[in-house]
Amino acid sequence: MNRLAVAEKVSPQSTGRRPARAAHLTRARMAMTLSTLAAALVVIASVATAFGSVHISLLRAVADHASPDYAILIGVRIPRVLMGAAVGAVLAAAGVALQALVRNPLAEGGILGISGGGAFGAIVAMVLCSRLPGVDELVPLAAFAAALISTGAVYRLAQLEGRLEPFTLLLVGVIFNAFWGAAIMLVNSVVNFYFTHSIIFWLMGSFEAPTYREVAMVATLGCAGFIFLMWHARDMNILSLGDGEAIELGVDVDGVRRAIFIATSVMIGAAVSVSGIISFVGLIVPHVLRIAFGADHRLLLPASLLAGAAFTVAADLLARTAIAPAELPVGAITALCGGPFFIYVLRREGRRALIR
Amino acid sequence: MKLAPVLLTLAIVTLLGGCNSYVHSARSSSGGQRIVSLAPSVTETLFALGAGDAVVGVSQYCDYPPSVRQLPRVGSFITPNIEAIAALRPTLVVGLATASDLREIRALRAMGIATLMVDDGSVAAIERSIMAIGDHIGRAGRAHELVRALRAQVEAVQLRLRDQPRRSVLMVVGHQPMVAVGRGTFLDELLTLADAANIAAASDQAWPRLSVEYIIASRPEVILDGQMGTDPSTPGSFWSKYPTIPAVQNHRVLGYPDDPTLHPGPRIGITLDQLARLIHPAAFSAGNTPERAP
Repeated sequence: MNRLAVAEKVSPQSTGRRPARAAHLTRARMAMTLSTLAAALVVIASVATAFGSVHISLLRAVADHASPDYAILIGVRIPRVLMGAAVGAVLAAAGVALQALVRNPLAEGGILGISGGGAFGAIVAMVLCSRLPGVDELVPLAAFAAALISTGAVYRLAQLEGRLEPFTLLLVGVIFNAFWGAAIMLVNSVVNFYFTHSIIFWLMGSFEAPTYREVAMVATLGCAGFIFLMWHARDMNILSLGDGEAIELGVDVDGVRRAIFIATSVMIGAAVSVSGIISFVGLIVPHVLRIAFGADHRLLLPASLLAGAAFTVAADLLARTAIAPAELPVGAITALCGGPFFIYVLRREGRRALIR
Repeated sequence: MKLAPVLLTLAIVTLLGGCNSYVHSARSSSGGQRIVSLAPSVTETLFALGAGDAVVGVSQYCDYPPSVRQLPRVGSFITPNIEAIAALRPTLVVGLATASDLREIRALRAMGIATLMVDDGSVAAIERSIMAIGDHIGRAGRAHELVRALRAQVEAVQLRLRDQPRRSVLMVVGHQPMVAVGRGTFLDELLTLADAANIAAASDQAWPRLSVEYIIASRPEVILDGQMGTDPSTPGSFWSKYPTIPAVQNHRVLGYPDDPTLHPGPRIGITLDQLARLIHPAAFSAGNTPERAP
């Protein structure tokens, strides 16, 4: 009904200098954009599967299932590429939704205290249960639970008179983020010296040795959250007009905000629980795509999903190979590569494009 | 959280530090020396030299011998607490040249407190630090004996291993991340002395985060896994995902205790013996008793 009309009204204003590109979100343009990004993802994932810290023969891997090549390809490399793709996709798509939710370009899982809570839960579980046999399985569960608890607390505290205020939400989130960071440093300074590595692991993120079960967990929760977000894509477009207009247009602003916040928390919690804090993906990918393709969430959400996956898989390829046989933390790579590129795009396109 | 009681205890221990020191000075028999140690290896060395009763303060990481747990804590070797140290009125502070923040050490010197910086990064450095500490506290003879005993332990292990084949070994301290014992660490030296080829030495780093791909490709015969501890019932569930690794196939994924394994200091002879037993069990079986070379 009139929602569609509004969504189309939003797009041309949003991209400022390039009205031609965002004139209409046609099916054809959407299909073109998404299939190009999907093709890029497939190419990058294939390269990331072919190369790694050691050279393997794909032929031998396929022919001989007892060979180390097979063990590396099936047991290590493929789950790792899949995990990178799943986590990158989830973080980027959730970033888009959070930026729409608080109407602020700085929003992402880290800033709202979701990933910090998850990392703290993981670290505490690791320190307290370091000698239990099932610690490898227990830590992700603790991280996921802690991420949701942190989110719940932020959600409760950000409510003013029964409404979820974007500004309060952002402030409470920022404070929680700083609080978890300090709590992690506190743990770091009182525990055994040898835990330092593990703590940095959670702070910088990594896709080391994931299992297919973990990949399936992130993919399932990520897909569920993503479908939910897509269902609200038009509402996100309308939210960007401002609360007043959105209410006039019949959007249950508060209900939509709650729904988006819960969905993104589950998505980010799932990602953090297996990979630690991977920064910048949820920030850079949405912004770059917004500049390139416009701010219509019906395109921006799926485009971020694909581009986030491609970017993270590429960053992890670098993390695995740069100083092989040792590894770099992938979170450091995403921040180091993403930061300057982001600034470059920002300077080139002007600030106007960023703010709807 | 469990943090609160820990912090409270630390705070109380630090507060009581001043009072405790009088007690210690009263029963000190080491010629009125009052020594503060800033590292576990230094504390162990002081006790091994028989100067344990002169130690009036230790770092927060010091846990051996067990009696040091009752001593006042003065921070870690990275962040020594100058006030806590000064309150103990030490005649000597011994720290690590590699780790101590020189600013804090300079401040102690400015207060007129004697300081000694040693290095515990390699077997030779550990021997040198035993000698240096011994010289400094007037126990050079005891230090000589200690170094001789250490060398005898190394020789005894090497004698056992005379006819053993070199085994490729991976030694890790944890899985997430996969931090391995790498080149240039005292543990890498001990592995070499225990007739092992450390596969992590391919990296330039002392404690590399090794990729699982590389571990599978280099096919270690023995994996020493610190995260398993010494509990033999712990299933190596993490490693069972990678069955092509010879160590996994042949059930040679073994735990080791943090203490003394990860502690440099006068007990590295014991650590070497334990590592050698894990890597070459046949050399230590009952029927295999080497005769001492003439």
